[in-house]
Amino acid sequence: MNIKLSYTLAELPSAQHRAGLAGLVLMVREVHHQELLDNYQDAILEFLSAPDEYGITLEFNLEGLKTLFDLTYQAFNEPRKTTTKISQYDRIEEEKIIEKGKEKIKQWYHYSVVVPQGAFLPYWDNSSNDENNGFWIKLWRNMMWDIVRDKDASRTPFKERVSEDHNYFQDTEKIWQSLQNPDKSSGQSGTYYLGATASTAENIPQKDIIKYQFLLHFAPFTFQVYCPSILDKEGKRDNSKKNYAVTIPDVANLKDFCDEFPNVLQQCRSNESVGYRPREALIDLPEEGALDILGLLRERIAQNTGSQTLEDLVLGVEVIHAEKAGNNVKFHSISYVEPIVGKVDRYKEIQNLYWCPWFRKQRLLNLVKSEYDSEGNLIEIPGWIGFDDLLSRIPRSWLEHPYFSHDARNLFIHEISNKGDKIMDKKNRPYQIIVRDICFFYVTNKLKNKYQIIKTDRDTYKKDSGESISKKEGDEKIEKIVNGAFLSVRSRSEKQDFIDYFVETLYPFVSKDEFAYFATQLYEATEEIRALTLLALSSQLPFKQTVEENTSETA
Amino acid sequence: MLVFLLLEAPFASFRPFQSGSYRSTTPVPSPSTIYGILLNLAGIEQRTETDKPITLIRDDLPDIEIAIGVPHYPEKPKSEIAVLSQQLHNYPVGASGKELAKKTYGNKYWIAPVRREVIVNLKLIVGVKSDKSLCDRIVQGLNGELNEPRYGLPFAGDNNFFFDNIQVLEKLPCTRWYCPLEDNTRPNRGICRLTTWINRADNTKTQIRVFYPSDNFVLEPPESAWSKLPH
Amino acid sequence: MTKNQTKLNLFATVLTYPAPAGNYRGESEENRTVLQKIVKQGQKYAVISPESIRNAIRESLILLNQPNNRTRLHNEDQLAVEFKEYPNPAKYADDFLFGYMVAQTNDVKKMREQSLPPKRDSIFRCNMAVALSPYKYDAVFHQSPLNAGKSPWKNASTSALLHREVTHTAFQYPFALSQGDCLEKPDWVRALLQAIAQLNGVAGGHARAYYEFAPCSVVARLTPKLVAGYKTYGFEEDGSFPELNRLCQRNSSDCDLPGDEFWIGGEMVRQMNEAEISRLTNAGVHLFKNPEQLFDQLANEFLGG
Repeated sequence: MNIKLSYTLAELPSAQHRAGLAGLVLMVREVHHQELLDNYQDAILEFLSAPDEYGITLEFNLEGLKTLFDLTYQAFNEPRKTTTKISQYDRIEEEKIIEKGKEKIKQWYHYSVVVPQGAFLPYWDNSSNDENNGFWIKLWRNMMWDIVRDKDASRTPFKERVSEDHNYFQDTEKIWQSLQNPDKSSGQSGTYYLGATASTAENIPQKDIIKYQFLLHFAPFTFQVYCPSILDKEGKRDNSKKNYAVTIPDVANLKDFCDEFPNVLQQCRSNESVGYRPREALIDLPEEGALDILGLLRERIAQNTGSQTLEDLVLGVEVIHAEKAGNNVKFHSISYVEPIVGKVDRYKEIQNLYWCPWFRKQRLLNLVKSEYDSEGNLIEIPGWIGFDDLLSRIPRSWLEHPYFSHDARNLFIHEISNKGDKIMDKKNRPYQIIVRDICFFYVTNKLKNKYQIIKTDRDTYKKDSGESISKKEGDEKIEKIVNGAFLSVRSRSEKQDFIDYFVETLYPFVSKDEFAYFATQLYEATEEIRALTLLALSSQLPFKQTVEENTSETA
Repeated sequence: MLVFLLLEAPFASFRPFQSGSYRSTTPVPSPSTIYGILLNLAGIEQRTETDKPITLIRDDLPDIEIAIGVPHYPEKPKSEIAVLSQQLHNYPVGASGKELAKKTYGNKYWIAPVRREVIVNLKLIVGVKSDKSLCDRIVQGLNGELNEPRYGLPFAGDNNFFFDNIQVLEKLPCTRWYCPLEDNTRPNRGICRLTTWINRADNTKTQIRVFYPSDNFVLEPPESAWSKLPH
Repeated sequence: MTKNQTKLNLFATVLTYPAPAGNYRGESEENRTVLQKIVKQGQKYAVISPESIRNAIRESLILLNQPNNRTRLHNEDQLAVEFKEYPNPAKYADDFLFGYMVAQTNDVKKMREQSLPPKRDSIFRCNMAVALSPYKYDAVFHQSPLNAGKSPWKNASTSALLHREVTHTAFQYPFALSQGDCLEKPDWVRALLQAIAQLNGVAGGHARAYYEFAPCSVVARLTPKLVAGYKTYGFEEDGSFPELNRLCQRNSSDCDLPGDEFWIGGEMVRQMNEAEISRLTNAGVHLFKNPEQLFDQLANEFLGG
């Protein structure tokens, strides 16, 4: 007897299940594309009703199901070698090396590991000429082993298929049996449903419906994987951890999504790499992964001439931030990003403006947290919000990050100054512009009065008396002035303390006709002005070009 | 009969059917949670015997139609979602801490860090359609005028999170109502999955539907916003 | 759970005295121990979980010689607790007040044999404690010395710099009790109210920050209604409680909140001006200069003196 299963997107209980339905459609298409049904006699695996906007009906027999799982759990042995002595290895090779003028023998232990193939995913990865060696597929495989199938027992279907060479059916037969009663329940497990446990805190077993759980086998094939950076003690990026942001498309239109997804991966992703990882996958905020995949989908839609919108393809993107720590998988957060076009566009605009990891994280957080009005227009949280808190909290050593002043300058140039024409109040300049100018005049004025130095342009200084001085000396003086003022502001976290300092030290640089207006702003938007003051002072620091390791900057 | 209630809680959290080290909250409680709160207000016990490990639900419960919405009160503080870390007691998976199990006589003997989402300043409008007698009972219960035995107090998802205010509204504010997603409709944004009925003995019989908030703020709930319980 | 006719419910908000607090921490970020906070209207406020308040009350009840089943074990490699026997709400105050849940099937069977319910709701309801003043990025730095020389043990190979967030603030937290649940064991509930009136040791970090949780001011309401009906986090940063303006005489026209259901005590009463005291007294409000006296009288009213 053949089995027939019907699914609609609307009935499915989670984004992972919807992604699974899309994964199933893609898998069945691939089976036909590769003509894999010929591997088994009389295998049947057919759509009774072709995937439409809302769902599918699928018919298959046991041989068809075997074909499907053979592709899903396809794996291969990848050769590896190490100089560490291990107990299980295939062979030892000896290498002669010269160390400190002496000849030495180095022993290489050759072994192999089972790696998930990823069905159709390697073909859609254009980041390497060797289709099994792309950076994207490597990242996906690492995520599978670190997060989805981190326990050895959960890798059995892959391992057995490598060693048995197409003669492993145990799992298929079990699933075939269970699908005889597709509406019955079965125990939920984290192997299928990412982030779930087998029972709740009340010890109530978590269950899923057999027919729905079946879809979860195919969900990971629609996951797009990113690597959120972790900040180390110095405030620098540490990308050495097994830390992933897994983005899960919450599919809205099954047919369109399945038609477009292969093209998105093949044509829209960047194929640049940093080390062994795709540059595009290195992010600072987990939700950035969702903004990136939404951007790729949008780009694909733009290439089509139809009237598709982003919301037609996906209801949103779920982001699971998980880390393999020791023997466990730690789930740091589960979030959901909606397909708001304005947000995706803004992300494109600002993603490369900022290079300093903690600065960029805060800036992107403001974008992610921004909401929209009833018309669907983005009401963006201004870029400088939250920096009063951040800059008051972080250790001083972080402030020495070479890109911090660059980012502060970029915030003023690209997000504040060029918005000057959008002034609501025609009479007065926006207070963020006023703060920028106050800080500039404060620094140049102090440079002249205290050190008799004038900055003539970006890299040159001269004395009042006309004699020139070195850039190094000028830069040092500016740093001294800025750091003094910066730390004074940073240490005044109480509203009145900050206002007192501002009035005493910086108010002389407010122009007379803006006096009254700015005073009101200083009391009403104290925290914003404090943030802007810290940023504007920092933006005056001389730019230091350095190259950081492990960066994801695209300068 | 039709009654609208305003519910306000300083803190709330409504867990979807999942557990693990990250516990999210849906933006509004599910119809089944609201049903439980309404029965609690009316002093109607919905649980069968409470001496089982899993609390089961009686099967002779009254019919109520429920609509859930988020009101727009510009003068009240905005609701936001916060994330807190906590060490929570649980039963571990696997063999961890077996030696501790003996000491706790069947209580949770393991502790694990989790991150929990919490809604700050929850504001809800709940529409209730039911027999006049039940609607009256709900209001009387709320005012403490029922001469019936009852236990406990209504709470917002977690039994430490009680309500500051539940009141009957004569005039409705502008509200976004949550409607279930039908097969041939296209929601814009803000979808969430809510349980429309809970079956604790077999949670595959628990019914989950996809809901989305109406695009516009409206005064009356649209027809589709009403969910009928029990299922 | 046996049921009684509900007559009254008690809702109360406790305000502590301000002091430097660093006692409820989340996961460290980098090498900083952070305070747990929530954001309200753009400001961050430190919070303390209801679970840690309940734990401290449980410990206080032990000190007040109430029969307890659960104790903390301090010598395990993780937080751990021990029970003397299966939970028994008729025998132990903590099982009665705070509830419990036994979900292991074998244990549930054994409890049935002893006619003990395997689950019980907590009758003491308590919400998060929230700081009165916003967190202002204060942090303290210390250096832990290296155990060197002839030390027989050392934890680390170098001395370490500790970076800890602290906040100088009072906290407020609301709690609630339903009379129907309490009248079975009035003496235990009375002890619970005494424990709240002299609470200490809430949350960890006490080795570093001694922070008392005893009330500086209290606003309570005894009412037949099922919800408090006022803003339970009603204390403002200056220690005032603006919603008291809503209290009036029960039989005055359009009475908002009937004053005779309210019990107010502590510093806010001691600092009240004459006009306000007479306004509240006329509205029937019960005023106390001392919070402990308030709790004693309230217990008599709520549980029968």
